[in-house]
Amino acid sequence: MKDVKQNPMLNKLKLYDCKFSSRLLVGTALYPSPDIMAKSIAASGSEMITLSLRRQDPSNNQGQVIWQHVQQSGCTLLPNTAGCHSAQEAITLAQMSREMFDTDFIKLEVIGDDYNLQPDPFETVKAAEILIKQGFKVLPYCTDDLVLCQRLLGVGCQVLMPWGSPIGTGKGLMNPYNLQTIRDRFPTTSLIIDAGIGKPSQAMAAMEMGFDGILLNTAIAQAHNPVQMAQAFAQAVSAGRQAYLAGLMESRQTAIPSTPVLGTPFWQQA
Amino acid sequence: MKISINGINHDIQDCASIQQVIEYLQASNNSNQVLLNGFVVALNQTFVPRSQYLNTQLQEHDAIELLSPMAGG
Repeated sequence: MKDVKQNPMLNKLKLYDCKFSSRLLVGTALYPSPDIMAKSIAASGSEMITLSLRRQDPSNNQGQVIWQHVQQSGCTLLPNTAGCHSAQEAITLAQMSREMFDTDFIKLEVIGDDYNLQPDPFETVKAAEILIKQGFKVLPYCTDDLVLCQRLLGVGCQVLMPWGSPIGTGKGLMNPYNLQTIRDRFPTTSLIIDAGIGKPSQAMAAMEMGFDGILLNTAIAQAHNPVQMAQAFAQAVSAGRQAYLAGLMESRQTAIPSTPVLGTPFWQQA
Repeated sequence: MKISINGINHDIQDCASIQQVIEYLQASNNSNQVLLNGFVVALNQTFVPRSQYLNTQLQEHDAIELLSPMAGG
C-alpha cells in the first residue's frame, strides 16, 4: 500500500488485468424505471455494473430496455450468477454469461441459505476453482470468514468480495473485526465490500478501513432520489479512499487537548 | 417430441436440433419476443455454445433454457 500512497497514478482499482478510476460498482436492479437506472449509473461515476441472465417473459420487455441502457452506458459488465445454489449451476450460468456479454468477468454467487442469502462457502470455492481454470476473472461473493477467503485465493481468485451484511438489508458492516482481519491479512488483494451497504457513511467506513471498492445496488435504487443517492455514494467512496491514503489518526482512550496548554490564562487562580 | 423450453412443455414435430427449436420459436408469435433481446442456451443444465446449435441433437423430455439479459445486483 505504501507505493499507492506515494504515487497517485497507482490509485486505481485493479481487478485482474483491468484498472478502474471509480471504486464504486453498482447494480442495475430495483430502480423505479430504466431511465432512472441509467441516470443513477451515470451519477455514480461507476465504470463497472452488474447484471444477470434470466428467462425472458414474452409479455414484458423490461429486460430488453434495461439491456439497451446498459449497452449505452459504456461500463464494463459484471454478470452475476445470482440465484444459483450449486457449483454446477453457477458454472453453467457463468459460461452462458460469457457468451452473452462477451466478458470473462463473473460475479460468482452461490447461495447456501435462502433466508439470509448467505453464500455457500464450499460450493463457491468449488465453482471458483473450475471457472478460474476456464479463464474466467472470478469475483466471488463470500462471507467475511478468513479461512474461506484463504481458500478462494488458493484456487486463483485475485479479487474477493466479502459481504458487509446480508443482501438488501442495509445494515452496513456487521462484523468490522472480521473485515479488518481480512484486510490486514491480504494487503495486496483487491477487496470489495459486496452487499449490505445501506448508507454512504457505511461505504465510507469500509473505504477508510482500506477496502478497495464497494459494490451495491439497493441503497441507490430504493432511495427516494436514486440519482442524488448515487452522487452521495460516489463522494463517500472517494472521501473514504482519500482518508485511508492520508492515514487516520490513532484513537485514544483519554482526552488530549488540541489547544496548547502552555500559556493557558488563569491557571494560577484555580 | 416432447421437450421443455424455459419450464414450459412443448410438443414439437420435426425438431431434432437446438437450431430447429430456435427456428420453431422464431416462427411462433407468442415466443418470438423471447429471442429479440439476444439469448444464450443451456440443454439439461449444460451450456450449449452458439456454434453447436446445429449439431446438438435433442431427445425426448430434454429441457432447454433460453436466457436473456436482465437487471441484476
